[in-house]
Amino acid sequence: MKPMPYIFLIEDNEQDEILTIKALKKNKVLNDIKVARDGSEALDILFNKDSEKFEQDLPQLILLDLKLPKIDGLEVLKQIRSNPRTKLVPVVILTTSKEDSDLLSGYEFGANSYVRKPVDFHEFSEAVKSLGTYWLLLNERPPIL
Amino acid sequence: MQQLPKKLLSSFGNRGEHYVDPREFKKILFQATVLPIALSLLLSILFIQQVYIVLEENHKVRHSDEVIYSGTEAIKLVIDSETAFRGYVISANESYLGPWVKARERFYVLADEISKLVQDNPSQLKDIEEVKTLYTGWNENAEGTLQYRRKYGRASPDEMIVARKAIMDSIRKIFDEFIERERDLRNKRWAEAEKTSREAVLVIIGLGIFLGVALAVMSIMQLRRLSKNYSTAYASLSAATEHLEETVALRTHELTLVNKELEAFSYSVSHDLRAPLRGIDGFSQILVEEYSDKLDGEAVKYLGFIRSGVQRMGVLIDDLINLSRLTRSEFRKEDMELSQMTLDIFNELKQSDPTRKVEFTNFLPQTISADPGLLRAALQNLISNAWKYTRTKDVAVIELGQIYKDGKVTYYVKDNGVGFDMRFYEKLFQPFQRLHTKEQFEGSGIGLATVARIIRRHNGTIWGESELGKGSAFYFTLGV
Repeated sequence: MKPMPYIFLIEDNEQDEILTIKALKKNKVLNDIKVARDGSEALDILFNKDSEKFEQDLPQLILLDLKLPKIDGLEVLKQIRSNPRTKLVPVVILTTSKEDSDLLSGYEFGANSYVRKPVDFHEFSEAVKSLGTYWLLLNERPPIL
Repeated sequence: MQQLPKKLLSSFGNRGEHYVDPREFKKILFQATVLPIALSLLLSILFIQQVYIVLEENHKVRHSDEVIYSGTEAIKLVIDSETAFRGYVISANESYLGPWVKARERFYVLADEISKLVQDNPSQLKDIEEVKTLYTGWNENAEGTLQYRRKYGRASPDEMIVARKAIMDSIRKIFDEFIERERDLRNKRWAEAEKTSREAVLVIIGLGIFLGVALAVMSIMQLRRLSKNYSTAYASLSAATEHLEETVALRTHELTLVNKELEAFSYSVSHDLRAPLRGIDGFSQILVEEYSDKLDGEAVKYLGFIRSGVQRMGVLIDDLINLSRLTRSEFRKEDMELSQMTLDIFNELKQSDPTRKVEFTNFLPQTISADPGLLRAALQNLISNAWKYTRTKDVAVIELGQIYKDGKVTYYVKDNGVGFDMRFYEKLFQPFQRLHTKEQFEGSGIGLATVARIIRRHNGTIWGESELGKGSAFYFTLGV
């Protein structure tokens, strides 16, 4: 049996990571959750076969923060979209910024969604729940994944 | 920035020591007008004077002509007298005597006229008087001859004839001299007149040329002075303009930098300040949810306080970001639906609390030219405020419309709410200043600051009027 596809969370803030994972678990998302703490680590996991972190399987969903150390979120997104292996993986930008410029470049580089993290944990939890429901249950994935 | 125009003005003033003094300009203008007029007048007077002198000379010539003519006539009459008398002497026919008498009468009249004409010339006057005497003598002689002939019936003695001839010769001689002298005089006068005319023409031409040249020189000098003044003024003006351009370019550059900094700042505010808040809120919530068995009621209550404080801070940060975004966003003016938009805003509020009784009146025009996004934000704030501050009324009244004030279209939003204290009017449009406590009415105190900023971006003005407990009214204009 094929292992349950995992969710790839790219997030530099430990607290946000914990909160996101808590919100996902709270909302009965049972998938594995893999975490990368910066852009470079994320790219290693996705593309770098020489790296010990390299993951053979593709994630079912990528949750991407924009403001990341080393390589920033938009650059990671660009590479995901330009690589034939990953170009169809759904990417949801999950960030604090709601700057128009970030929104525009996010969509321009091929993000599937753009969600702003609310301060209120209730609202945040609701947002994560909606994301999980939509991307993991409702949405039909491209057949190659 | 405020310093800029003043600085420029003073720098212009310092350089502008040579700038054109209006008084000096007036002086030059006065000189340039009055001097030519005065000189032309002078020239005219001189010209008229010259013409008079020429006329005077001509008159004298004509006078001499008259004297010559009359003298010639007079001598003709003398000759007529002699011819007629000789006729009588030869033929003894008295019919010859008529022309003599006639000529004699006319001679005296004419001789008197000549005397009058030459009154101012003693030698000529003397001559004519002498001729008169001689002629009288001649006539007496002729009368004597006539008497003799009638008495004795034969020709008069020879001596009488000789005497008469002598008199006649004298008369002729004197007359010849008289006329000759007058002719000389006339020729002299004619020459004089000619000379005077020539001189007059020369004087007029000379003066005209002189005055023309003088005026031209003067005009050139004045124009040079003016143009020097103007070029100095122009030079300092263009220097000031250049300076202004430089300063503007510099300031624009500075502003762009500041704006970029501000953008970076608000970006990090939005990103970095909110992230810890989410942590505080999230973990407080997790404590409440997952550790409730280990926490007592007080602890849960305090965690609640933490969360509400954090959330309020989140709202403040968002408001702050929105406020800064208003000044940074591009301003785009277009025709927009106004009346319908305000109705939509009101309906949204109504949906948020359907139980409230609110009389909403809308006299706003259907369309208006403004930045739709910004104006919507402004009206959203104003109408929400009206909605909020009328909460204590049984029946709230909110009215929107337009009036003309000082010739400007002025829009207003009025309500019958709690109003505000005009003593604190200065704080009204300041960000994060509130005239009511949070417990009375919620809000971050950013609303009216946002509205004021939006109106300012439209080059408009905003002001408010209120009486505590009776309601408030906000007015704004949208500059073009």
